[in-house]
Amino acid sequence: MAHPLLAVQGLYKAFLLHLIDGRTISPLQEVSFVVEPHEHFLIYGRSGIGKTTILKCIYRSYLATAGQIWFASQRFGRIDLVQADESAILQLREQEIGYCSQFLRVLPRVSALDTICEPLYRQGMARDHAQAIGRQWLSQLGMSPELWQASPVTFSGGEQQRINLGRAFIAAPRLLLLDEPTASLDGETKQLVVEMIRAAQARGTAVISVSHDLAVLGPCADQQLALL
Amino acid sequence: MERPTDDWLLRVEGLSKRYGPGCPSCSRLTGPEAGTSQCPRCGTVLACVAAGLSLRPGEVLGIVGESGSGKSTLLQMLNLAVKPDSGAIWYAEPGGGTPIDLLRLNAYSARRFRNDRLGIVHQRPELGLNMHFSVGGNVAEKLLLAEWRHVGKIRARTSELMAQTELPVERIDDAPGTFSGGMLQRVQIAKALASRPALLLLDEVTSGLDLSVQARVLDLIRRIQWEEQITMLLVSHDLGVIRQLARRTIVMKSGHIVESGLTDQIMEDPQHPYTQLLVSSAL
Repeated sequence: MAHPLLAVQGLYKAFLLHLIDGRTISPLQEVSFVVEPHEHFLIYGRSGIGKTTILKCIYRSYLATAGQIWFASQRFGRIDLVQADESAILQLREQEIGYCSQFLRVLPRVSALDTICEPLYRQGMARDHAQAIGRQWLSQLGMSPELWQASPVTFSGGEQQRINLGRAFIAAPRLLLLDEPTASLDGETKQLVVEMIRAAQARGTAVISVSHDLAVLGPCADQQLALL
Repeated sequence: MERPTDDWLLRVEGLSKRYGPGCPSCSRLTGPEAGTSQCPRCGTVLACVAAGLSLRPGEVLGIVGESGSGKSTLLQMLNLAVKPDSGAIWYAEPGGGTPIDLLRLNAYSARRFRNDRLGIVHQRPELGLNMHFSVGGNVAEKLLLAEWRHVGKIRARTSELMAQTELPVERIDDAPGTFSGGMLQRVQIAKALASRPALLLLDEVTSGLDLSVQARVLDLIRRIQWEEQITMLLVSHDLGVIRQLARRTIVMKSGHIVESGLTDQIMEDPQHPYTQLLVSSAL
């Protein structure tokens, strides 16, 4: 039987806070789940329950305390993202696993167009080609052309979130991690996010989103995991 | 299917440097837990203890730590300017080639290697530049050591480097003393790049510059890294600088490497008490 795209087994994360008397906090109870290719997997639950922690452990911004995260990589075969060496993780981030954080964090001197194209540049795509694709995304996201050369730092929260999402989707990774993708967006743009997730799935991307926006994301999820 | 690649440009093993005679208590009384690299018994400074790291071709590795943590000593050993007491620095030319231990090169080969394959940019320009030579003369110095002999070609290459580092080419014959702080860092970068080195060492290159000048120098470094895909080792005490440029980071304290990891992991999920303190102290 073929392996699933992602198999999270007994994932547990605790933070040891040396600066606060060595106290340990564990936002996340042990979780296990499986994500198949093309699937949209929705994780929901109240704030502070550890939704983002799961995504960050998969992306390796956090080091998991226990458990395994098996990813069926095109490049490396079946690989445990908890144990994989750093250079493998960096290559996976460029080629196979995308992450859209809750807040856009960018350099103030880089234009919206270059910000959205950056993942393509990293993949080695020629600048002109990347920018042609970038422009398509910016207009699909409803960004007015006069903003394309401006820095997203000056944008509204909703505009920043659109850039943030575009940047994550543009690279067409095999696994896309979305942290609260519909937060700070208006109703119309929320529907656009749903369409973007569906289109990405159709292109072969599996999406894991964490959210408390069940009303919008629930209907388009293939599987749901409630953290209680 | 590929194995995760372990090809590297530079591999450092057990690199140590101490200043002083040493005594049996040195290693017990120094280090991150003791909070000092100086032995209270004999005064010996254990500036760098058993440092290990590897650098992949084209990557930027950050080294962060407070003053006296040993990061500049480590950099100077890699620059072959300070001789380690023990350890090895393996270098493998990109595209294959037998790794060589740089510490076993004879004096002539070490000097050639340092000139041709390494470039360094210091925090203080006077350490990297001869302030009595013109800008053109400074860059030419590195080219002459690399056995460039044709004056026209040297001048052309220097002009090219000045343009690349956004320096006014018409000032090629001016002395460094007439340049501003940010421009002097550009001159150092131009000089460092002259021989198309495989590894660029950057030691606190933006410390002490105005914020806007700092940003321009960092933008320049980022652009050059992007265009040339040059491998860089970036020493800084400023986490913001590290975050902008380095995807992997090493944290040093009291002569020891206390933590290393992906830069975002170091910032978001620091493990060592010192790293947690460092991250929590960021402005």
